[in-house]
Amino acid sequence: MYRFVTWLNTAFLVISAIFVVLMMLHVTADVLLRSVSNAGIIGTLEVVSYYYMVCAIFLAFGYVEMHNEHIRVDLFVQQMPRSAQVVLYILACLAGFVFFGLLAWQSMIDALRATASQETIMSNFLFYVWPSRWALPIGFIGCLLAILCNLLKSVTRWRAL
Amino acid sequence: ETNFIANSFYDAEHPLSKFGYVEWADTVREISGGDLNPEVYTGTVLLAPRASLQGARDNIANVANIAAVYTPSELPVANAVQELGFNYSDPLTAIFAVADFSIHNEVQQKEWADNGIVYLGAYATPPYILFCSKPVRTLEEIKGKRIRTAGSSVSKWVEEVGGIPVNVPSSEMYTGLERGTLDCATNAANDLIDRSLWEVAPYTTELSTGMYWSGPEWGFNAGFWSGLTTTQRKQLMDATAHAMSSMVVNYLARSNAALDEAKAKGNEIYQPSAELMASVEAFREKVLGDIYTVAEDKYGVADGMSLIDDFRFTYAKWEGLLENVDRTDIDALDAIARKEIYGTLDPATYGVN
Amino acid sequence: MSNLDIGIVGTLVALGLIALRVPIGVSLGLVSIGGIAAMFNVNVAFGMISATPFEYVGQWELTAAPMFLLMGFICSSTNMTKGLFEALRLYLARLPGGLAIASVGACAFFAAAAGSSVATASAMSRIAVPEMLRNNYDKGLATGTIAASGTLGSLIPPSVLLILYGVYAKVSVGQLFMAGFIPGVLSALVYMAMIMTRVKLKPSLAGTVTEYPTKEEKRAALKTIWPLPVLIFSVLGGIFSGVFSPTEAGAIGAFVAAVIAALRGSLTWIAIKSALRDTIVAATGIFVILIGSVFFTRFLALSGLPAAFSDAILGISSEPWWIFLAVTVIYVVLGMLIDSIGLLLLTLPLILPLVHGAGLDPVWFGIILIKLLEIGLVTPPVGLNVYMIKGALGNLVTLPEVFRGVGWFIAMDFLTLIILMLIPGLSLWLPTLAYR
Ligand code: NA
Ligand code: NA
Repeated sequence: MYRFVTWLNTAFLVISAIFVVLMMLHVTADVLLRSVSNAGIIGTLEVVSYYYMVCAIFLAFGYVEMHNEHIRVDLFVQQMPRSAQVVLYILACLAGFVFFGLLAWQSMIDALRATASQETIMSNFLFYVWPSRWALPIGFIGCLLAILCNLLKSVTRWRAL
Repeated sequence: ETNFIANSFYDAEHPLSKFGYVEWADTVREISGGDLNPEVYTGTVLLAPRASLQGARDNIANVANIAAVYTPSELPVANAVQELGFNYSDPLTAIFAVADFSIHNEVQQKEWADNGIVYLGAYATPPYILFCSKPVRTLEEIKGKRIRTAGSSVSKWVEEVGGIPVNVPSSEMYTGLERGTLDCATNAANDLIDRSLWEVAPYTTELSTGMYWSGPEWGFNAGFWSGLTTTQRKQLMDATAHAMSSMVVNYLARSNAALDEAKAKGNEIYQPSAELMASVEAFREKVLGDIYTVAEDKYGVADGMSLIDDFRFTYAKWEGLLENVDRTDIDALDAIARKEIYGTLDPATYGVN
Repeated sequence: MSNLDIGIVGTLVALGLIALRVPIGVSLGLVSIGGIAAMFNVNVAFGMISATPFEYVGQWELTAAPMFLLMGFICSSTNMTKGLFEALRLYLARLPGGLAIASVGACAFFAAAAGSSVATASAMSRIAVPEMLRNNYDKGLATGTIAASGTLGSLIPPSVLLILYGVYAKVSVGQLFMAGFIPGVLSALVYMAMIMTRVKLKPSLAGTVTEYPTKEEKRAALKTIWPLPVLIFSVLGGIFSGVFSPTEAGAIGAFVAAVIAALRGSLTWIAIKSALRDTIVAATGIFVILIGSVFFTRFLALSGLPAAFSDAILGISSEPWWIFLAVTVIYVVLGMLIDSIGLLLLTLPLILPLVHGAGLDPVWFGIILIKLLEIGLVTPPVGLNVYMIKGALGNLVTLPEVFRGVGWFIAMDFLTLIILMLIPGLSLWLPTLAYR
């Protein structure tokens, strides 16, 4: 399971990286085209914010958790004995599991609802956003799996990660 | 005593918040003798514009202003009617006509109910006019201009006259105009002063590119509304009739004052040339010609003709009702609204499931 | 329990969870969900979860954040700063503390390319600190210089913190960028003056520089400095001339950085991969906190705590000096514990009503706020910049050594802060010049 989750989240990171590169290229192309021909690429704002940005950020949640790169405050806990550290780490994992679990649950409902109504946003043209809604539950589930792995690892090795 | 949360996503000083929510809340307390106590949130702290509908449906706010243009897929009927925004330019008639229509048209009523909200009153913005960094008075001058537009029918017209419609957030209008990534923005005249656009857009053209009214200014959570007493519902209707009148009169006054202020600061306020105006008229005709099909094909309305014709009929009715009324007399407008719109409703049953 | 009580308890619980090493975003988010469910009901809490993350992350203005991060990480992963630092080092070799002064200057230049302080500190620490230590510089001075100068990254534009502040406070990001420039340069000059004075008084701090570069060496070094100035010029020039907006500038900056790196032959596959990975990890880390703090903001707003808090402060006085004093104390205390972005988003709903209440210019206040947040990046116990440097240098230095070295710089930060509070023109002159 651990290997599968690592593989999955690394795959998500790669997809996320592709969206970051796309974001850079798309905006640059829009600016270049605009300065040459006065008219840019239609829908740059919509695609960049509702697709590239949303996918790049949410899909990487699991990778960040997997590698314990969520921003946290280590200072007080470092002074404590090892078993207290492990217990607190388990607490943090449970807190994360509940939080991302709630997010996953609700965003899944939202994604289903958005898909059913073929959700669009206000724009100068018809612009569907429902597909990118799915980046949230997918990213959060990746994150939940990563928390489970870290939790198991921490318990079996009896060491805070 | 009933405490409840009221949310308007505009800043506290914006007329739609100031008169529609802050002043309205005072009126509600006054009329109900303190029995109804709205706690008003303004700005996006509680709900962002796009989240308002969902926020009212989920009871995050018990009542909220909901701009239907932000959620076209949830509110197709309201958005279909908004397609006519380019065709009208009098907010005073619009606010009452829209409220009347939105409360009485069955198709529109069903849409509110399906979304879990109760429609109590309307808003209508002054016409969106052009604020430009260079003069734009003629068809020649508008060619190639990058114009920030809000909504699809305006952007189609801009394209038709050779301009380039651009979508940027309102927060970027100022820098866009200043730095030249935008040539014009379209907004209600008060934004010239309220968003400091006069600093970067010294040339205003009083060309109406449409006004906005879609969605309720007061959209109540359906469950909360049903839980109120008949008396409370009646009190809210009375307060709302007054607030709509006060809001539209003050909004218009603010807009006109803003144009004067801008002029005093040395800005140019132009009228569009005859040929530019003619192109607007021609486009309006075209919109009317297409509107039934647009309502049906783009928004999935079953009977586009009956929906649109009902709206146009209601609008014409209000043009008649307001013909001999002092356009600045809030109490007179209030009285007409109470009689014509809310007088036909039974507070014991309206919006109650 | 009244809503206000729930607000106070919730704040304490959130701080407690943060102290117990629960991720900051998770702590803020969980408390908000629980608190809102307690004040209203579970539906309202779920409604907030449903309405917030997608809409918030999908904001056009925020796309600048990952793009500026990417630009900074491309610079550091391809060693783009090295040439400039070498040149400064050679030219300033004879000044007292020349290497440290060169480091401050290089940080300032890097800051004009990178969007965040931590990016600036991490990039410069690997280049400058080993060089200073090799020349027997005092460890505290060497590391303190970089930790403190790294904070220029958020003051000198572009700056992720300023973007976040601008979007939240509805202030023009372009104006904020202009406003941060002079205060950033001022901070750098104050650091330099302090270094020079200290080394004059105690030459042993600056070790023994034995290098006396020849004119040829100096001329040769000049040829390698171009990448960073070119990058900065294209980003700032483009914003200034209206070719692109400050939001678009991030993507352009990242692209230009990649092109420059490719021209220099340093855009290796490894460099690309590490820049992308670091960008995504940093951006996602920030956005987790961001989502948590947007929740927390709603929770606080619904509890009525911000209004009660600002009433209490304004009840004492609404004179600017009092507001500044209150704000300074709040940020210095909280800044010891909470990282700058989290703190900014956590406190804005509490602080903005104060700013409006006292009638302060939000652009000016934004700059003061960033300076205060930057101080928090180097104060113990939680000083992200200090941790970054310790992380980059491993066993070369200890944490207490770095914190000790930073002390002098914090004193200078307070001096700069007072100057900025006394002379609003330092922050507001450039924006009024650029935006009339
Ligand atoms: Na910077
Ligand atoms: Na700190």
